[in-house]
Amino acid sequence: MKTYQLITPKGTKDILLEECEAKRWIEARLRQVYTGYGYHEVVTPGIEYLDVFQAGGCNTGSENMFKLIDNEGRILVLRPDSTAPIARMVSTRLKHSVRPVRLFYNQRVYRQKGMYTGKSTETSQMGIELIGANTSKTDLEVIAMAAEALESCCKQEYRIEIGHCGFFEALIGRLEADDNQKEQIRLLIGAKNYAALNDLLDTLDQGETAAALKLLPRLFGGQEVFEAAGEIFEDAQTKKILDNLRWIYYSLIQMGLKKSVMLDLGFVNDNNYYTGVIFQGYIQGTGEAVLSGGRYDQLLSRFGDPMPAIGFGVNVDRLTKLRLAQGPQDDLSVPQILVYGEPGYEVLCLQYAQTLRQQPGMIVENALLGSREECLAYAQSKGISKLHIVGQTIEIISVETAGGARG
Amino acid sequence: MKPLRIAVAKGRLEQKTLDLLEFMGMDCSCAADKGRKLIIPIDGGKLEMVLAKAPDIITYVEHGVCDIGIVGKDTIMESGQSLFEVMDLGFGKCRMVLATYKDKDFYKGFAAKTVATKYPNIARNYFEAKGMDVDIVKIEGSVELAPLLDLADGIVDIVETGSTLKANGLEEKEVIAHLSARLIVNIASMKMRKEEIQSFLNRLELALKGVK
Repeated sequence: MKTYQLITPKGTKDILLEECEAKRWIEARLRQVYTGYGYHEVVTPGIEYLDVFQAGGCNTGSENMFKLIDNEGRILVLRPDSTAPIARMVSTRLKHSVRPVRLFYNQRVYRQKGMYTGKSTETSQMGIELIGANTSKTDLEVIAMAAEALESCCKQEYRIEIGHCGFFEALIGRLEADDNQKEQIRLLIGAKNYAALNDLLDTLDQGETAAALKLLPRLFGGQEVFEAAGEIFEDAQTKKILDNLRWIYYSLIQMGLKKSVMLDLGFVNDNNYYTGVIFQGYIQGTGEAVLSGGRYDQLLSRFGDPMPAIGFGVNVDRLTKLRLAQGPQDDLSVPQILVYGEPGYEVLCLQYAQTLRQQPGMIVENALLGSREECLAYAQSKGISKLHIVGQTIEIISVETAGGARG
Repeated sequence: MKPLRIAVAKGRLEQKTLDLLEFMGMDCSCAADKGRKLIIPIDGGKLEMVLAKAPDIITYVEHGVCDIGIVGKDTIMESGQSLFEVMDLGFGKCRMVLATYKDKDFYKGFAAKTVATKYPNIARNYFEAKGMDVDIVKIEGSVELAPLLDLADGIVDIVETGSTLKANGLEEKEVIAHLSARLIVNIASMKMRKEEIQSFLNRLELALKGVK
């Protein structure tokens, strides 16, 4: 037997029984939220041309994508995210449809991760894209829906954190520095590395812009953030962004999300992917964001159909893990009845089982064993409480089960 | 509410951290007689100190099983990816350097250079930024041996006083980075437990000034 015959590739896993049940439960709850808002499901190919994800089309670097070469030498990648393929699809197949387009997806994405980091390369994501609308009202709807999505499938405390990439971009645009230094500053703000950020900025500039950049990574938390931000964002451009964000924030609070909504104005952009509001969802007990999204108004123009868009994706695997950690929730559905046909009554037995199944929610398993004694033992070990024996008559036997036994 | 969990590198940084926590008015008596325990309650269990090897601190903090970590900048540079590095604690100062034989010019000649190091990622990033192809050999123990045995043209390693280099005829040629102990925070903890972490950071900042 070969080693690689028995194991799954690094970063992937089989999902079975309780875990699979929990995953489907999460997916069903999310689906209910998404369809309730009028979103329709789409499925995109598991492999795409590399070009779809290049030049800002994706916030995963191409070095982290799984690549294949097709028989004409073109580079294909395993889908590293769903947004770019959906943008491609909307700007081609749905070019003339009524706007806005509301779509959702439930598919796996593939990203290479470092060795021995305990991180998955294959992740189930379920998210939405709202394409063709760019008002504050749109942003509010999508963020409120993100909160509802988390609320629908977790009991733990959660936070939705909102920010906007415009603050950093406005400030960095005003700073006199070369591209290398600007990139450094971006990374330091993203890492909330206050000390190194201050040191670097002190060597560059002593003015207001540098002072504002120093403050930016500290601007996270509740409504107090607006007071501090109001003092540094006084020009028309950033003031407008701030006013919009304030409106969204207080609207969410009006919706009863005071405990869950927070702000981080120090959010910086990877690969210039996002163009406006950005938000992330965290749940007590996970070390990373379980939901992330934002506005990406430039992406569709890359596919020849410029249109504003906003969306988010939920990491279904992390939510599944959280649900499982709370102990068994979704008992594997055990059949209520095991039916056994005596020799010569096989067809009758199948028909009998079919009529039983017409009752909603009824699970009936056909016994594939040779004798009623074997069937009884099987029913006991699987926890099936009734055995129906189909012969000349139908005999119903109550099975004493241990309870909770699983096959 | 779960106590905040702080992961600290065993050894030098551990003692420094305990001094700081004591200065912050926390009861660290459990640390004195910890024996072989790896998780130590501080201040009557309000804080939990996890003792781990430096690179593991990054792992624990990135996965969110520890909220905060105290670890050298070298470890963050070598293996840190997604975490907040919020404070330079100022102690444990040293530097990451490129060193080679005293009279040798590391860059001389056309042959590709070989560099021995315990920090392959730091070495690779450093030479990549210079646009140089370099062969990197990972060494686990005394890196100074590699050039002495003629395995490498130079080394990338941590230097505090430089005496080991000197004793072996090597010399510091370039400083790659200045290092010290840093305070790191898990991204989700920073958001979910902002008040607790912020107040811890504020007290720590005061204590740092006091200890100095």
